[in-house]
Amino acid sequence: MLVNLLSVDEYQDLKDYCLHRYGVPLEAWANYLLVKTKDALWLINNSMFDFYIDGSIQYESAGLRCFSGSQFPYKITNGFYSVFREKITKRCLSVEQEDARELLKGGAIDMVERYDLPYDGYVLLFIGDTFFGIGLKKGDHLISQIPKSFRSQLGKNLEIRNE
Amino acid sequence: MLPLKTVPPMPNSTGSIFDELFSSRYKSFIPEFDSFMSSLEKSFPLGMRLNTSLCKLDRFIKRFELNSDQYHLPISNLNYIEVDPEAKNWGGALEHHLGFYYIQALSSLLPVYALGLEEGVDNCVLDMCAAPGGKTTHMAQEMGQQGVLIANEPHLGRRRILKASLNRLGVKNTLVCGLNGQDLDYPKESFSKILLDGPCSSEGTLRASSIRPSKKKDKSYLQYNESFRTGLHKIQSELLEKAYELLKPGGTLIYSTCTYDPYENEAQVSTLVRAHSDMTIVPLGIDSKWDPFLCDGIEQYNEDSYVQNINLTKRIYPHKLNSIGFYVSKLIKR
Repeated sequence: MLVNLLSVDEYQDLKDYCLHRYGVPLEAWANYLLVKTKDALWLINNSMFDFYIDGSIQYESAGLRCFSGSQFPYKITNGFYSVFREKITKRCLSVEQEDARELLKGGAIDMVERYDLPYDGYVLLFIGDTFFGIGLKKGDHLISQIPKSFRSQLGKNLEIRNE
Repeated sequence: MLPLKTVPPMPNSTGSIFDELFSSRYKSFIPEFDSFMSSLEKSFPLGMRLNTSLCKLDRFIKRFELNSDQYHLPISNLNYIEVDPEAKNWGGALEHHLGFYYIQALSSLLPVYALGLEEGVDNCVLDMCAAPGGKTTHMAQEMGQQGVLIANEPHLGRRRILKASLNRLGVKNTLVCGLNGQDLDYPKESFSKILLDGPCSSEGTLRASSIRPSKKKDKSYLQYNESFRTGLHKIQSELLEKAYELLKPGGTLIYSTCTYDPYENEAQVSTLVRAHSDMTIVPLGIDSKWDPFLCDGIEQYNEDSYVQNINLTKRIYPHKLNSIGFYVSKLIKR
């Protein structure tokens, strides 16, 4: 399998976008490359690249799914948060428990006069200081982007803890 | 520390079939055999390895508001905690799906610790039979998510579970492959460390459990007839040969199973060592706090005598360590 790395220009655009949008500094990407598949961008360590650059290794997936989608601007994932969590300074929204429960069910919440977010786009969702998924702000609504596979595995009587 | 409340033992998790077979096969070498058999009737604790990048022990206890009678630390400083299975819905908790912890048996930590992975040192590591991902994610954690960890799993369904585990715990240094382990076509001597936690008869898991239904276990065990055994032995020896081929000189191979059967354990290791004079059995090299729970590998069984130093390989029995049964061996390629 040949490795389809994100092009230098596209990678730079994405890094600039993440700096502007999420506050992730450019240097935070120094140890990583992004591999493009038809529906996602996968983050790998630089050292992984040398190992399979010749295309002789048959692999099914590599690294961590960091963005989903096929074109810019990509949608951030839980993987994006797990890699850059200490660097992310923008687009983090702490929601109330009741709203978190609705979002974890895959629903949407009304944001008017409740949460202050300046423009549409993806948001990192928190309960207190605990990250729990991605949302999409669209107009007055915040729409859950939490995958169905994830939602279906949560307990029916889900306890939401805050520290 | 008070003993944890456990779920009631399931009926017929052991019974005459197990008594008879285990007695005829293993009574000669399992110490305190009656205690061993009794331990199979008791459920083993529900335990979890903490993903310390997200949740350390103090935070875990505080977050779940656990009283001292609701958890137990079987071995100190392991980032492993046993919990009251009824205290929470541990598998359905949000924290579980956010990768705070991985539910796994305590014994299954041992092969990874025996590998002795070092962050920034071990750059090329192979897990030959990786699903469902407990050991793989543990290895990635021990590697500090640096270098490359190849996680191979031939079965599609199990590979999906593996990928979900990797994603859930935010593992980024892993490359997932779906080949039969015997067919891994990497260049010879590619890996400095290899874990072969191979397919086995899984006798060690034949205990009542809060998370594993008895029917599955019974079915698994009933498959364990002579032809099944012969097939397993063949696959195990082929996998070991491949592991030898892929291991760098100076590299470490861990071969482990969750079964008691010497033909799947000491016999396989002995065959490998006899075939390759550059393979040496070495001590596991793990923390001495494990010592009270480990028994030496056996030196002979029925008509077979095993190689020198086979006693350095280790067995875990559930009456010694309240977990599932395990076998772990460590070999170095000179």
